Amino acid sequence: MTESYGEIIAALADGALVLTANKRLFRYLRGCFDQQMLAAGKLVWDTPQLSSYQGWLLTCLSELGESWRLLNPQQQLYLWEQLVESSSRTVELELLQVAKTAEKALQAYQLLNEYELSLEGQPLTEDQLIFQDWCRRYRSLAAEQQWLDQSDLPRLLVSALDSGRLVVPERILLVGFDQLSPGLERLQAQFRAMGKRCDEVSLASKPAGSMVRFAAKDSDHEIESAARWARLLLEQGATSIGVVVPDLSRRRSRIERVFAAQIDPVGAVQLAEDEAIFSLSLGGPLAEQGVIHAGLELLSLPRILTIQQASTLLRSPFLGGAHREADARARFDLTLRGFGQQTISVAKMRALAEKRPGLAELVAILQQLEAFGAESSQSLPGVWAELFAAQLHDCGWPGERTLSSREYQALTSFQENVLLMLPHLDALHAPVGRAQALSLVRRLARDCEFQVESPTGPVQVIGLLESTGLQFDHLWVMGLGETVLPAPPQPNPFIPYQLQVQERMPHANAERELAYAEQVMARLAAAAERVVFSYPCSDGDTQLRESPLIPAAAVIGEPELAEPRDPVHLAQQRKQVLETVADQRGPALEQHQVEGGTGLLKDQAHCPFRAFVHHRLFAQAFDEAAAGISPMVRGDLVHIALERIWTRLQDRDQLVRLSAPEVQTLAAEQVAEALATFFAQRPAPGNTMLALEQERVTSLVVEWLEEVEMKRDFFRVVELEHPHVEQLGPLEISMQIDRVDELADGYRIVIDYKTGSQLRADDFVSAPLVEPQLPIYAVAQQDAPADGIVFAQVRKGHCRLLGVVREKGLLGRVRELSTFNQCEDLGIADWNQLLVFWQQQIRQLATDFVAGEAAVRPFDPQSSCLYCDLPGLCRIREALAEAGVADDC
Amino acid sequence: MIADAEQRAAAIDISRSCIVQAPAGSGKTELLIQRLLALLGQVDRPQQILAITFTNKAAAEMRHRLLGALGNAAHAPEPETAHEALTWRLARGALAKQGDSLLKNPAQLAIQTIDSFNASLVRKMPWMSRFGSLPEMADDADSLYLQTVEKVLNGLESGAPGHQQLTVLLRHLDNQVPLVQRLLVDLLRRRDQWLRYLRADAETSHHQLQQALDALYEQKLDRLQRLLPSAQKDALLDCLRFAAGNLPDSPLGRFCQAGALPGFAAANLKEWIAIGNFLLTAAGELRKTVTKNNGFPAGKEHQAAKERMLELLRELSGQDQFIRALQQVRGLPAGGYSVEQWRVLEAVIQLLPVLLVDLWQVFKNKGQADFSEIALKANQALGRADDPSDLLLRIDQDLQHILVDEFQDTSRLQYQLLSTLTSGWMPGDGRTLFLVGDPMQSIYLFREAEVGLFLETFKGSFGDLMMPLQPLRLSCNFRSQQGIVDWNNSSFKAIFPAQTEVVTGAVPMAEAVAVKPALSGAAYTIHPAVGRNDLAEAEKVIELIQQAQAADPEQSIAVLVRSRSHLQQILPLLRRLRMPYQARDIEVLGARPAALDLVHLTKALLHRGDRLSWLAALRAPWCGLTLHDLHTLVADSRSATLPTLLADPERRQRLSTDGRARLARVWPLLEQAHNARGRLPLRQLVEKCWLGIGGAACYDADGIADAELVFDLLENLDEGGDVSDFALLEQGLKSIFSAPEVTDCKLQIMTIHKAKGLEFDTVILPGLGRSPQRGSKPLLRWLEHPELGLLLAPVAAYGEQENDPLYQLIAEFELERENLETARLLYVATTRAIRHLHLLGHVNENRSTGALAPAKGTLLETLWPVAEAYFAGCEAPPEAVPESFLPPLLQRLSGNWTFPAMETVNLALTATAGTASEEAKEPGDRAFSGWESPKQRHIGTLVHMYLEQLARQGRIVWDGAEPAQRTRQIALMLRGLGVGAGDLDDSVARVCRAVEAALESERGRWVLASHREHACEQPLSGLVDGKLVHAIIDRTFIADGQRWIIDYKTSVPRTGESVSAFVQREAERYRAQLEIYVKLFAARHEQCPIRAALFFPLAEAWYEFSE
Ligand code: SF4
Repeated sequence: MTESYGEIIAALADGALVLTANKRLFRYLRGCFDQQMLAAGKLVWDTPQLSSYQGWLLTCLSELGESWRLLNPQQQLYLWEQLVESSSRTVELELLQVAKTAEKALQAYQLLNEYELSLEGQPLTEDQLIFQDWCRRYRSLAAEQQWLDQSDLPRLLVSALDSGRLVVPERILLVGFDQLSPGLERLQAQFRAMGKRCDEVSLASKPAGSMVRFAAKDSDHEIESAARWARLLLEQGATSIGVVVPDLSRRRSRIERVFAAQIDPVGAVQLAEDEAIFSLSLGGPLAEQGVIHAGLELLSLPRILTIQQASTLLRSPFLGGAHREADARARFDLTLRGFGQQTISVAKMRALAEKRPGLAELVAILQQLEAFGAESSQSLPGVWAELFAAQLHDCGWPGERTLSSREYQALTSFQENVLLMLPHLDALHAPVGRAQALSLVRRLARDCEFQVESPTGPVQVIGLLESTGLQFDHLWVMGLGETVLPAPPQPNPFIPYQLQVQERMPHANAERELAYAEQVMARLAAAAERVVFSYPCSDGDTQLRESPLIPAAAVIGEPELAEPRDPVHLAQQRKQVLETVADQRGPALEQHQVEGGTGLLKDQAHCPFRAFVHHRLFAQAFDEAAAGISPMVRGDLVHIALERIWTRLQDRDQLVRLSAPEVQTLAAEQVAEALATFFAQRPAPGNTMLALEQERVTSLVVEWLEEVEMKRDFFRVVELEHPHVEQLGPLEISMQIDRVDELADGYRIVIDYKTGSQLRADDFVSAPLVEPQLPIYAVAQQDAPADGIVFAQVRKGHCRLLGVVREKGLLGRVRELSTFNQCEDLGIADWNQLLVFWQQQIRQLATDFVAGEAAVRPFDPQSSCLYCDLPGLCRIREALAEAGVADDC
Repeated sequence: MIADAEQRAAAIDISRSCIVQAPAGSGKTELLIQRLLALLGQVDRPQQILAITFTNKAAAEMRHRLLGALGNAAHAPEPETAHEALTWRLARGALAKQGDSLLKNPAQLAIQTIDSFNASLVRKMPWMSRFGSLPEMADDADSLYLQTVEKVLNGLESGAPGHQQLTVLLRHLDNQVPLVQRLLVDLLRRRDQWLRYLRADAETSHHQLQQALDALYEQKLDRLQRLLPSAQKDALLDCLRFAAGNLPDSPLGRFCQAGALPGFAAANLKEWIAIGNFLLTAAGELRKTVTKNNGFPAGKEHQAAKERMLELLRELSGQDQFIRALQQVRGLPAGGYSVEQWRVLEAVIQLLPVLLVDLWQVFKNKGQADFSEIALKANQALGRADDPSDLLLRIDQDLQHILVDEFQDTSRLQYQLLSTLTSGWMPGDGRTLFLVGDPMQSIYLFREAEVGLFLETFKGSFGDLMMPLQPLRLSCNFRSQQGIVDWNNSSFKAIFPAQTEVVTGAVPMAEAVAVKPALSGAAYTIHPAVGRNDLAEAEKVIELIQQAQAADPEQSIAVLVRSRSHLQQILPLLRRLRMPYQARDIEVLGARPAALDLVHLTKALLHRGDRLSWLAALRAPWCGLTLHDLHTLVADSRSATLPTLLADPERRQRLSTDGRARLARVWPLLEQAHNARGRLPLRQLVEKCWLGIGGAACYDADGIADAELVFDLLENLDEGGDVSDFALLEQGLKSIFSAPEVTDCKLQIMTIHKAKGLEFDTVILPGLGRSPQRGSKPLLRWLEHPELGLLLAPVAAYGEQENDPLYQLIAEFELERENLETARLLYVATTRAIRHLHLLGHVNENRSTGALAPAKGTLLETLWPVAEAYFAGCEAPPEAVPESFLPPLLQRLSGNWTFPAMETVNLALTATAGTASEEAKEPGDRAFSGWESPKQRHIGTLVHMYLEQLARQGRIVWDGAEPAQRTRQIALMLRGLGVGAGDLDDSVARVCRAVEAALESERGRWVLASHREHACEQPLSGLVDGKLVHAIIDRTFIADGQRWIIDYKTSVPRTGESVSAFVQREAERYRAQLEIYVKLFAARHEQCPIRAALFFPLAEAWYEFSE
């Protein structure tokens, strides 16, 4: 401890008033004082008159009985926002960031107030003119309501001191100020005028004995080095280690994590946070705490949810029944996703949930949500606060788990600093609506710093501003890049630039920044016996330079560091060559009846692994929602419409007898019916969308009928959406075929409607058989095999039939078998051999599936893997890269 | 004396503005530094100079070099070489003028990108710019556009503005919402272009667009006119008349009586199209013969006419340019916009303002904006030359000199800004503009770079006010050896166009003069191949690298590719051969196993119903369950969630022994983590779990680096411990590049774009024969034409087979610009080499003719005029036998893996000092103790305050004020404390009751009376039971020889609770607190006996603690 500290403590013991630059220094000095008392063997002593400057202002105000006049920062901001907002509403384009503007404007107001300056008579820009207007309005409002601003306090206290309403001891010490604010200067003058002694105590004693200048590779390396440096010192028993970080707020979470990992690796892998013994408690916005975030989200849910919002709600652990109904909710989520829609209304969701078992509590919550916003009246913020609390409670928030201590503290802080803050705003404004009240709540929660209380250890990580006056045994100052100290100036845009320069306001210009930076640097250099100054040499591939103000006496070098002890490093030391297993087969299938239809064999043909995962493990990626109506639904609608039409028409002759308007009418009617039946079961899109879709499907169906079906030779539809059960080798599969046509001479054609674009007739004649569905059907009736299988591509502008038929000309331009070049390789000479080939292929696929064959062996890495959902699981990319197969998927 | 010494000297003449073309290797940065230093030696303050760079990295580098030069000038002696000495002397001059503040405060130097300059403008104009304060820059602006579009689309059902237009677009695009989204997102992405031309009023826009189109037609016709060989004009007219006579009803018919060829105005287009059809075949070639279909019937009597025609055709057959021009004219859509097209365009134009309003709302909600918005608003707020804003005037006073680097990649919006900034400059006022760049290296078309702006400016004037500039061209190449410089000179003379053309951005070759002598050995090698074989090419690349490394291990080697996918074979090979390399921004995380495993783990922990992710997490290397075990776990239940299945011990028992052991290690941690979700920040949750289950032992250092990136991603996506949309994780995998740890490596791998500005001893360019990836067809094409304005055309209606001719026309324009840029890209690539250059590419063999040709759009196609000779005689290798495919193996930690022992430092923790009263939380305190308790607390605060004042100053404090006045005062104070409006009256009443009760009761008066050694709110510190305590004691005094310690409590009995029960309860609650006080006083060596009590003014009760 330096002499000046001794002086301060002696003065405190003598009853002097000591004001510090910030709270941290106050706490630090109080600690010193307490230690001194204890060391002197005392068990009890009068609490000294020690306070942070800001704290002292408030105490004085309260002593004067005028605390109530002071607006707290939230109130101030809110007030200024309203000023800004009311101007903003009158112009063409609203301001983008009202809150931030209010902040800047308030800051400018406080600066001017503190410096006792006025804008009158100054040449002003448009930005400054509007600010002047806000100031005027604010002043008249404040005068009317007797409100005080923080920046009014020095002046108020000067007059209270002057009139004797406030008394102070004979001696006053000001500690740790980089610079006295104008208000404090005024107070100092007043103290002196009253004959008191009021001095600044400078804490900087002498520059550190050892100074190191350390060039880290990059910011990560810098943080890791500092952490290992701290670890080494801790191992050596150091008790006072400081780390000063100029841009702490940005690097906070990383610093916290890296320090914890190096110093307390055991805690770093512990999931129960209460078990960690090392923590820097650097804090973060309250709104980001899980439990608070969940509450805020819940309150802001709209009536129509995106599928993601619905999913987040269903898996939130912070709701009533979250644990009890966990499985049912997870499954419900999958059902909702299965609709392929991007949004769903709360009401529809409730209706669906009511029909499912095990979702009683969810239904109750959804009912609550439906009622949100029904109270659409305007109320005072305080009233909203009560309502919000009640609504949260009714949704079972914060959930069924017992609260962790962090959660408990967060909730307390939410109540204290957010909900209870709202009534403070009652006085400032007329009633507001729900949305505005909610945004107030959000803002308060975001602005509220949340720190978990935990014991302080020997390591302190602090920002530049808070570091004033602190002394350590060891200090590391990091992040000293070229543009950090001195920083680029940031004059306040609402105050004329010249005025700021002239008054030497903070951040006014480069000179001011340089002077400040030099002072800070000198202070830091004297804040410990041993100091490390470090900076990152690069950021990505950008080279960085060091601050020119790092003391020349600091010698270039690397401070002594502990060996890395973080879990990653240790685990990497324990890294083994991974064992490899050729795990390509699962157990054989016992139950030979399977669901999954022909898609199963298609998967098997494309890739055995895929079939195994989809149809034996029943796992697949979530269904993806598409904007508008999903392609799947669009396809289904066409299917249904065509099924309905052919149920009525039955053969080509009936179709061609219809006039063009009749075809149109028929299509329109059947499409309308199709839409109606289809969407009866599931959430429907809006009416406009529905009408557009109806129009689209109708015109597509008409195009199909006119462009393809009418141009065909005679046919009769003999089967429509006919369900079958087929025995395929050892496997029994149920399936459904879209349609079977019989031609004039009795030939049978199997048809499958497709609305996509990726169709290849070659897939019908390939080994493995990657399009098994139609072939299965073609060979199903041994006595009456099909004579052709075709995809009916029902696609705007591309309507056609494609597939393979027995003979040329059987079905317009559909290719006959002999045009397929691969027949030769496959040894297929005629239609009958093709049928045999199909049979074999199908049996083989079925046999493989039943045997549990599950090798990752895509038929064609390009096409098979392109739309597959499993590449993350099967690791195909690595295998392909090794084998040198092109992979553009 | 070097070749371009004069030009260089002129470039640092700071009395003049200039534009400098600085080709590759010409030492551009050094020149910029010299000019900057020269300026610093002259201006009063460094802030008077603005230097604009293309990227932040370039700004950092320039700053670095500048400060380096200043440092040298301050500390080092004058160097030997001439140009270094020049720099040194200029730096000396700068220091002499500016003093050492320049070195101490480098933040003063305004070296920045145009974006950050714009940002600084906006910061100065919070109100005028409408931003209020500089918003955060959106990382992913596209997602904001998408949100905007979704917002607009939501209006479809509610009939919001724009819904009719949306209907039009949806109909046009097959009711496919994703297509409409894409269209509109595209529109927003390039809205600055639109905003320059389109007004919300569709009529005017239509007119403008039609005018632009007509002007385009006239340009084309004009060209045709110039190329039409005058010698054949008469013959053409004759033939036309003859044919027209035979085909009176065809479009040719009108020429029947024609006395002259048609004119060349837009109105004549139809006629020229007819002429085109007359002379050209459908494929666009000159007819070789004619028939009666063309108006020349067979028969003797027509023979002469036919002969004449054939003669004409023969004469025209050499006129390739004319034929091409005619072909182009023939392809022009004579009718202009069709009704359907116009309907779509109109809808788009009318939607634009609606979109902009919603975009602003989206920006507002996010507190973010994109760079364009900042630029647009900065531009707007600056005002115009004839109507300058205050800020522009102020800047105009300050700013003396502007330097712009990479001027060839400037966009129109940026150009506009520069033009505005310099609009107040007067000739001879000493202010200068310095533009430098190389149009041959303009490769940022996709970012709206307009090389035409450089070309136009190089003619000698800049901006709206035509500020004169001196054009300068450097020619020395300090980088490459003579062999490479020579090859580049000759090659690009053949590749680049011969003439400058501003519209398409055609840049001719400016030859370089090598400063470095030729080296022995081949400077460049072309490695030809026939047929694509990526693996073989990759092997060749490896071989070249190895040879180069063997020849000189110290040299830098770069493998440069046009597109990342061209590295797909090379990287795995390098990895397999353990050849260290540095590859920035090459591989996406989605291709990396460590990242994939982690994303699965994350999804599993967050969603118990995500079966696929759970299975993946159980099969990932840290657990590695076999298919058998997975099957045993899940196969009998399709719908059960994995955590439920896993939690069943009996089920786990069914697994193989090995599987059981693996699960026993992993499952408890997964379960714990799943149950802890929401409690920890997402990153921590996943990271801790991953570490615990051994994730960090499963990968090499690269894998760890990948994992780190995923953790960063999780941190960014964290929303209260969850992710709002799992798709964001997938998106991250696709867009974040793996960044393996590298230590200073001589072999670098990157895209050509990234390599711009860098140099390497040996440069290898593989994949020249591979086609670039083509994006999907844009739904709306537009072209910003410097002379004509905006041309645009929507894609044909969905499902229409034909491409719209207008759309096609613009596409061709774009293609031409792209092709020119492709050539420049090749130039950038080949000029990176210092010593050796290798070019690798394949051509395809035409099956029938056997001709060899590179694929369309490839770099090799560009190079073909030069490269063709090297491919002569090359043969296709025999069909390569593909290596047999081996299914990937399951990889995992061995069954007995355990986590290494870890050691935490022993920490001496100091608890913070207590405050005595904090122990007294009510048992069972829930987070929401309701609204009663805060109100209660505020009432307590006021009552305490009054009681303190009463004790200090006597009854006058209370009685002195008029009751009404007092009540108002109390209400004000309560309100100030935060009592809501609704609770105010009741609270005031309670405060009054409490104070009055205290004043009326005997006990109260005694407590408040003046006693010996009395004090209120006495602060006392001390050590109690080994704990440091800071206490404040409500009331204490000595009465009747006893030391009293009294605490005020404003609580009241619960409803139905008797006063005695209440007092008992409260006493229990505060006993410990009072005990601490007693102990503190005891430690003060109090002489009298100490008594402690609670005083309840509201409840009118009193409790005294017994010893
Ligand atoms: S991605 Fe390819 S290899 Fe992997 S499962 Fe799917 S189809 Fe098989």
